[in-house]
Amino acid sequence: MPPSDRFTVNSFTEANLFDALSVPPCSIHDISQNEVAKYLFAYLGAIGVNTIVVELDYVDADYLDDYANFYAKSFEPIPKRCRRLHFFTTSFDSASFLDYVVGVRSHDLLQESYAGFVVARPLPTATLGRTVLATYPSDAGRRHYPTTRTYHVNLFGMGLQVESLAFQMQDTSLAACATVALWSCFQKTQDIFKSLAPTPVAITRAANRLLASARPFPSRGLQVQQICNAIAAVGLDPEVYSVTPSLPLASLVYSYLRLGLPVLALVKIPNLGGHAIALTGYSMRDTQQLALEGGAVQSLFPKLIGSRIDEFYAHDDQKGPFRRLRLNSATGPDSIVTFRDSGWPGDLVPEFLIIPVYPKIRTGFREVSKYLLLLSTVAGWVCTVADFEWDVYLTSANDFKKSIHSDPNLNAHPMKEKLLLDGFPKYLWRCVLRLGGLPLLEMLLDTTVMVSGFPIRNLWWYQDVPRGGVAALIAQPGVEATLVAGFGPRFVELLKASCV
Amino acid sequence: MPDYLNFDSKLTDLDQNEAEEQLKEQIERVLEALNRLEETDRIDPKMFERVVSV
Repeated sequence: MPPSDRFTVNSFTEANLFDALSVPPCSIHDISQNEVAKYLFAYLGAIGVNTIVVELDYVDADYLDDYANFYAKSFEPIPKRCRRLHFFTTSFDSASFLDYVVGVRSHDLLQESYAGFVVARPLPTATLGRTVLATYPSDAGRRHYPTTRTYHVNLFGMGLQVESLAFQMQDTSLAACATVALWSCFQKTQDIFKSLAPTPVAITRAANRLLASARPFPSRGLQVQQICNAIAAVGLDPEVYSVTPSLPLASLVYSYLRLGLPVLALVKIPNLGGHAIALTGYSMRDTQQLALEGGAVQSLFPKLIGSRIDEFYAHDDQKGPFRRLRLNSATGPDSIVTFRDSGWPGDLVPEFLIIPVYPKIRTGFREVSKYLLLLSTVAGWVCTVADFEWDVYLTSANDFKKSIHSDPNLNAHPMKEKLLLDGFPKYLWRCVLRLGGLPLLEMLLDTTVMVSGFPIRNLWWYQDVPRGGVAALIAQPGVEATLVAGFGPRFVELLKASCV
Repeated sequence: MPDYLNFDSKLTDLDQNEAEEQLKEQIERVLEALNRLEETDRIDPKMFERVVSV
């Protein structure tokens, strides 16, 4: 069949990929020198791509906004149309593709093998626009990408979909690294909280609205305060953590990722400066991977689940989507977890973690931590502390109820009916203390309680013997009064009720 | 292991007076640990001026 001027279909090779990405004035040479393009080729190969379909004339809403705000007013003529590359794991040619388009063949097969798309912009240094790609497989359940959402794609009338989180390369004319990382984060917060998901230009403007340390365009970077401004502008609150040796970094990141919230990590790159990336997933192993989550963490907490994490996956606007970061354990009392094999020279040193949260999620990981100390103390009366592991994460009330519905540990448990019938705030902190892999006790915390309030809503034991041991101890004369004086009456009341 | 959890005997193995004494000491250590947790959580306002630009 004669070549179409609307699309091309080619087998997946490096030459074909780079050719498809080179939208004039961008040349194949520009692409072949581009680190993200090289990473993209390796990534697509790893997820099993075999065929590239290119929409030769594509209007991309995000690029159009960039164009209207910046490039349209440039003297040099810069095109306003893009290409869109679609990737499939199955092999087919142009004639077969046209059969799918016109309905001679069902496009279900295309959906089964769809691995996402990349918008190629006519920008030599920032070619990869909106990039929505399937993730790596889970590898026996160790890889988790809870920040993905469903993207609906219309390809010449065929409805396709892919689970991903959008990525794009930094275009320094309009957006700093933090802007692009926020743009990715807002894609998912829109899905969870129905908040706004502005374009990079709008994010840069919002960040500079109240605090303009320099001209916004070309963008030369954002301060932490400006990042917070940009988050407030979409109707969310910035939950900010300074990374110190007392912060259980991996467990904290995990606790927000579990709900699907991307975590913005501000890192220091040796000899280069500050950089922002969006943490989008993690790899959880069966055994401990980090000897220390932070130098001082083990003087505060028993083991937390984050110590079993060996990798994070990050959207790095200069390195690529779902980029692997291996975790280095903290090495001493004053040290913190760092990231290696990131594609940057040297290890990345995290300085801040910022999570855009729904304003009614007022209780953060830092407030929850306090109650881990109290409950660890109680459990330590009756069980071997060395076997403890806390699993702490933010969840929705709906997801919580779905999970306990099918939880074998709660079968015939008196709490099951109560938990299923009770009303809850929309979001909860779920804290499960496991002993040798089995749940020992669990508490639920209300996220809407103010910092000075008492957030624990429910507390229950999974095992009768330790529960009975704690009950007997509290019943001893003098013990309850001592506990009330130390931990407060509400905590002790709840503890007593859990032991009945 | 945190020091507030690190004792030679389990409370349940002690008699009433010993248990009460150990509990008081344990609570004191937990409250110290909570103070340490709160102190390390404070962010210097100047940190908010840190720039990310790479």
